[in-house]
Amino acid sequence: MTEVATPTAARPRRAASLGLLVFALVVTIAGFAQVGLARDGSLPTNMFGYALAIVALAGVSYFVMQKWTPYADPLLLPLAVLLNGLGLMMIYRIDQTTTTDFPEEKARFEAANPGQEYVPFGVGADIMGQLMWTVLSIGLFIAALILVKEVKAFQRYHYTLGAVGLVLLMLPMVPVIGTELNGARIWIKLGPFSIQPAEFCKMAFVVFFAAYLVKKRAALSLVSRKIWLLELPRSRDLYPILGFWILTLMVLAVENDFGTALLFFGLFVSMIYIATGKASWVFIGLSLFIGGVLIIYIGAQLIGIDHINQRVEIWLSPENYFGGGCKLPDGTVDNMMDAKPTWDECMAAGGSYAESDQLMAGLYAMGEGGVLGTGLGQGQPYRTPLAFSDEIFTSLAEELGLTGIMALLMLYVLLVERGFKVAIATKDEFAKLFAGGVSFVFALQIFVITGGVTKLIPFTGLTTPFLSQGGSSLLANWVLIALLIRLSHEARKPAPVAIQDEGMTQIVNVGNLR
Amino acid sequence: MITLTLIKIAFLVVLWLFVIAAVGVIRADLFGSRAAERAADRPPRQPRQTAQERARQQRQPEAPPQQRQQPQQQQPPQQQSHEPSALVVTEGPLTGTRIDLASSGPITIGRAPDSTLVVSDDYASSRHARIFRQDAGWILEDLNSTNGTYLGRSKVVPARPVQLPVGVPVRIGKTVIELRK
Repeated sequence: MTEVATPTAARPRRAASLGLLVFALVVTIAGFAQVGLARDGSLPTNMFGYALAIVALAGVSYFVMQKWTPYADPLLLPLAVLLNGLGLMMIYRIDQTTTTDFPEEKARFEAANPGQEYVPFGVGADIMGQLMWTVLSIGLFIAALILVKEVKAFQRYHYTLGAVGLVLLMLPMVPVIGTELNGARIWIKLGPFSIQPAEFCKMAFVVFFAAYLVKKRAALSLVSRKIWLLELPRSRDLYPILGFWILTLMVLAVENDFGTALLFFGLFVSMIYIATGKASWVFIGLSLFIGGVLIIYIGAQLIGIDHINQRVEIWLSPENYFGGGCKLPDGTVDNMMDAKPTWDECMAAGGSYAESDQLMAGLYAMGEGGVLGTGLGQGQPYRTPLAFSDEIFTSLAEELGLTGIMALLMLYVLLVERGFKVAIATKDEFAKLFAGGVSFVFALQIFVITGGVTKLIPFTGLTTPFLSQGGSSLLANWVLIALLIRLSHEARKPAPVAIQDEGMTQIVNVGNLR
Repeated sequence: MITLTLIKIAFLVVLWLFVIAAVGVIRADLFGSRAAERAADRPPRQPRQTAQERARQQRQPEAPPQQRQQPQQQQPPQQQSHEPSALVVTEGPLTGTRIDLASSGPITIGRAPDSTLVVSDDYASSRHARIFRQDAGWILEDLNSTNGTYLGRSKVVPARPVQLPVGVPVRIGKTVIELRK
């Protein structure tokens, strides 16, 4: 963290921010309009209600931002609004489908599965629910913007927040409230609500790590031995990273979610790197993580814990499990698409069942989209299970194509870039680490989820920030954006003019000098 | 069908235009907006200098009044060939940094973040030295630094500004700078 005088414009960028915000709203509403035009040949009647709601929400948040943090970064709010808007648009698009019937699908299903009820595509997409969560999130965003005058205030509660984060991370492992979805236990159920605690963990852990590293930065930067290019820290400085490593491996083993483990361990390692500037920590972290993952998977193989291995197998060869696969004790996998070993036969032979429909459908959806996409409202993203939450990335990729999804990723890149910019411009060490950690955790989460749906890494049930349907994700991410906006305001506002003790203060018109 | 295809492509174009507009805002944030640049009609600035740094320099303690009486344009033409054009860092972590003399006012060197040349060096004071134009030449002044400023091999006495010839190294902590033509 060398001090570099960074050029930041010490002036409010009202026009730029408002312009981009209006642009973001235009893009969102254009998306809604396109969905209606493609599906029904006319603008959807309820579009104006949604448009009005989104414009009002964006307007209020813009007003609050200008009033309380006028020097804030002009990009953060428009980017978040656009991502949230595109998410609403896609959820609306999938929600529309639910009401449509697919007679031939229904007939086929009922013929094949007599007695079972036909579940139409897209069940679960809920535009009104998501809109309600957006309203609540913007409310929380506004409250955070007004109430949190100093992000540094969190530093005092870092042990509390760290403990809260730990509890939240462990909650899904608790038998009754933790629920398993698609093989991963990363949800907790409280009455009618499902909460993904990992979302709130992000903030708690970023605060804890930032405060911890402010204290330990000097010790962690020490070098004890140098092996080739690697500067090794003292062995006792390795204990914290080892402790957190064991914790994340527990998450991996019990919650069976590679993504969550990678997200939080990656966050810790990246924040140590930001604090110390030593690449050796990245090396140590990466080797620990890769080593730990290998230990768990090889260990599970030896002991014979199937559900961990099956997720890896689904990742490595999802084709075998498309439509359901039966893994027999001798290791071969029979595809059950045509019900050729039936469920009963599979169980009788001592096999275990798993399916990769979600991953495969997402991959097919992206393939269907191609370079330019099918166009909004013209693809079939609803065929993918959870197309509105886990797989919203592939839904957008199908309808917007590679071109659109690259623009979408660019929006995330810009969001992360602005976050790091805040970190660079901030003077306070805690705030620097906080902003850096928040930006990195956004980036890593997007990597984990897009990597998961594109089969680069094992699939995870984490949400895509701002896009996915789900309240916890929206609430947590909007609060993080509010804190980043507050920090950027503090960093960019002109310093209070002090009376400089330099003999005399003169005001010089530089125009005359030249 | 063709209309829908056009709408589809238009939406993608608009999405990318948003990205480009956002990048444009970042650019304006870093280098000042193009409109402001045109209005000022000033010579092309060096890449690392921004409107704000410029503003900082305006706030710097002002060079002696002679400077104002001797604006750049009034330099005698014969001086032009000997006129140094840049201040270059030749040693230290900032090696290679160039500060264009034509476009800058007095240059301050030190650890203070509002210095023209910010050196992060334990041996430099926060306001270590400054270099400014006087008459035809450039003057080096030590601002009462703790560890001193060296011109060539001799120490510059604080508050006793000396002429700074072209090509003579000035050592400030671990950093060495010199004037170049």
